[in-house]
Amino acid sequence: MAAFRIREDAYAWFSNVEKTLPNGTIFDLYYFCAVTGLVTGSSDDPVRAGMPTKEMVDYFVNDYKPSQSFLLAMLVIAELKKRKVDLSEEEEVRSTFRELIGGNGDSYLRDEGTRRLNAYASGGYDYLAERFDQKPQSSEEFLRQFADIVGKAAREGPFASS
Amino acid sequence: MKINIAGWSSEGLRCPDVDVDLRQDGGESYHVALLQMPNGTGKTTTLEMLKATLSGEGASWDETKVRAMRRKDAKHSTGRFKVRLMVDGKPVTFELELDFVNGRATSLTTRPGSGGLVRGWKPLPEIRRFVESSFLNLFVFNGELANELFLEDKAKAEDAIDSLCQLYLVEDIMDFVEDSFDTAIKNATGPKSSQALLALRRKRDELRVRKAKLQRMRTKAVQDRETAKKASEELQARITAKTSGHEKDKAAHADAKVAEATAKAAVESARDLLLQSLRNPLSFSPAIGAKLVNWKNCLDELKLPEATSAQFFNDLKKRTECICGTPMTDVMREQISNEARLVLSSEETGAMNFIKSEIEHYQPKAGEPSLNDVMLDRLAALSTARRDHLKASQDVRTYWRKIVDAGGEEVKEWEKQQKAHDAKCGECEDLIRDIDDPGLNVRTGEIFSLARIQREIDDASKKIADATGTEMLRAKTAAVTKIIRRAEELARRAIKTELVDSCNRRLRQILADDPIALESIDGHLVLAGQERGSEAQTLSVGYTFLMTLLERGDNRFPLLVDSPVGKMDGTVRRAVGELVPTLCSQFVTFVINTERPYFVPALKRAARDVLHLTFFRQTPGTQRLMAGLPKTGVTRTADGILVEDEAYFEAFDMEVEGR
Repeated sequence: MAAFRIREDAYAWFSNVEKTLPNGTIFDLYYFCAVTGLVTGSSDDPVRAGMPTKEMVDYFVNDYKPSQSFLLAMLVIAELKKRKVDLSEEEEVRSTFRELIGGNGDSYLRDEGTRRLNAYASGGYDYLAERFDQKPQSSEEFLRQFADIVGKAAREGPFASS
Repeated sequence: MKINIAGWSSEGLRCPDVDVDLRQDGGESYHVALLQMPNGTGKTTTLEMLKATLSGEGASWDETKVRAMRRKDAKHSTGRFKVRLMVDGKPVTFELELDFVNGRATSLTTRPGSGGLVRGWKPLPEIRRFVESSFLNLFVFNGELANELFLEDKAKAEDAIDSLCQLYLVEDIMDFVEDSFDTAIKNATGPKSSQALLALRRKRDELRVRKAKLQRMRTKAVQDRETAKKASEELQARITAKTSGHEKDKAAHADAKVAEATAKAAVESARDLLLQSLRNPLSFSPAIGAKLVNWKNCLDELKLPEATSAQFFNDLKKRTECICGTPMTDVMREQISNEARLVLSSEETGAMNFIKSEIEHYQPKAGEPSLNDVMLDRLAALSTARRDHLKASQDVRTYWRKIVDAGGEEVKEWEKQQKAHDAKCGECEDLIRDIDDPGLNVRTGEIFSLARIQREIDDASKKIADATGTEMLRAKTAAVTKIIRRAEELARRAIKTELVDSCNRRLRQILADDPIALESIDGHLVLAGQERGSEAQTLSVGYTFLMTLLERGDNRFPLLVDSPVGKMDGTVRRAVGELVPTLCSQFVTFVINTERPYFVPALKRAARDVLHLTFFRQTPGTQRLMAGLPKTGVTRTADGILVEDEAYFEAFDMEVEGR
């Protein structure tokens, strides 16, 4: 079962955020990257690119269980968009879905689905890092800019109203 | 056993050169001994030297620590501190000799029948555990301890029980069990290669070394944090004293600090709420939710997932006949397999139905704000809270700068030193937090979490046991460990119950007019039916707890307390003064002149006999004190004056040295 992976440079970039987020976990940091990647359509497989990563859990932690299905749906939609598949193309929609989703684990992700989500987390981190002048100094500062960046991107990326 | 402090002497150290004799004409010690010293004369150093000498811990001080004990600007090469105890009427002495040139400290001990002074910390076996640091801290302490017994985050009451009842020995037993297990499996061979086993053992040894190092680091960090905190508080007191007369600015600064703390809490609360919102990706924009709903509708139109899952076709393939009754052939099975590949499996169908159902139900109810609206409100609230906090911090800095500027260069220097101590305190707190962290996140570099180290040691032990085929021995070791833990738990529970009962019996007599009772000991002391008592009640319970604990096993200990009533009001001082002498056989306390009112008269009423000592350094600033010296009872030391006289004690009016 493939595990979620966060890039080591991303983890280091978030060090001040992690320190000042008393109830936060490393999964929060991964999520910040992954959701940014999905919303902006940015992906880059870190393992294939030879970037050092840290292995995490292979399931959605409790804080993200309520959002799990939305993240899975967003992954499928982002991949359909990337592959230029129209939502009405039954065969392609089905095969993309079964390629990514349906594993036996708690995450519902197949290994390929986890690998792709990790790729979006990697792309999302690059997207965020480019938009911050320097690594965030505190969780308050980061969350404010993060909400703003992803909110704006949602109006332009794969999730923009068509 | 009865232990009394007969006195101590100091030579060439930061604390004054003095020989303090707490005995009456060389015989029994006074029931109460009051030592009045102005702030800045060396009370804290004296207390530190007393503890370091008695516990023998001074002998392991590093060079910096040893040299830091030399009096400022002094040139002498050695210093010496000597504590004299009476143990069941027999003299025992502990000495600490400091070599400032080589930065070394050496313990020396004298005990009955030992034939004189011996090098090293060698107390009588029967008193050894009572002078070890953890125990010593129960009867030699500063006035804060009685209050700290009630603090939930400090668990001082539990620590005190551990020290007295030596429950920490259970850990030694556990180590013995683990070591025995290691010895037993050392030469065992198992299914894995000896090289792999060696690597595993090496890894576990390294982890154990790291664990011990982290434990030492934590102990040091706690000590350093306390030292830095204390130094910072002392500097704050000096700054406050020096800047007296700027009460308006001080009041404004205090108000600004309260406002800053409130604003900080508001930022944290707003941040947590925003994080809660952002953990749902649909909160970023209504467009994301709309896109998901659109996709779900498309799946409905495509009739996905299908009513028949791939499982149906896979089951059909295994049958000897098709559902139409035709005998199943290999060609038919291949066709069915091809068909199965075109539909979703039962897991895929389940996942898709789960996702569709969640999307269908995410919409807020009519009249409720959307997820995006809630997130935007929380984002705005965080921005406002941050602005308020920045302004509040600016106000604190402004008022503080005003106060510091008014104090002149000396105060600026103190502020600089205070900042350094605060930074050190912060560093220590970070380290302690890392060491106490459960260590559940991914490993990044060196391990700091003790919990994680223990997990990895357990994991390595399990692998070693598996590899060497000593599963049974491991199971037995685990059983013994469990029994020991259980025994510890039961012992702890029984001790606590007995202590609570004894304390309450005593409290019913002591506080007959102002009744209060202990409910339990849960790390800290918990009062029955109320969160906190009055300050007088709280301190009374704290001191009663300590003395009840110390007297378990028919032992009698002195109490040596630095500044027992520092910031208390008259009622509380009176209550503590009347109570403490009734609890112990000897009470020795360091006070300053402002602590005398209410406290000293109450002590005198409750004590059998009282020794009044006053000490001050001989400097130009203390010249005025020389005029009122009594005719007798005055001892001139190398750097100060020690006066044994009640009237002089009562009239002494210097709070801080030189002022």
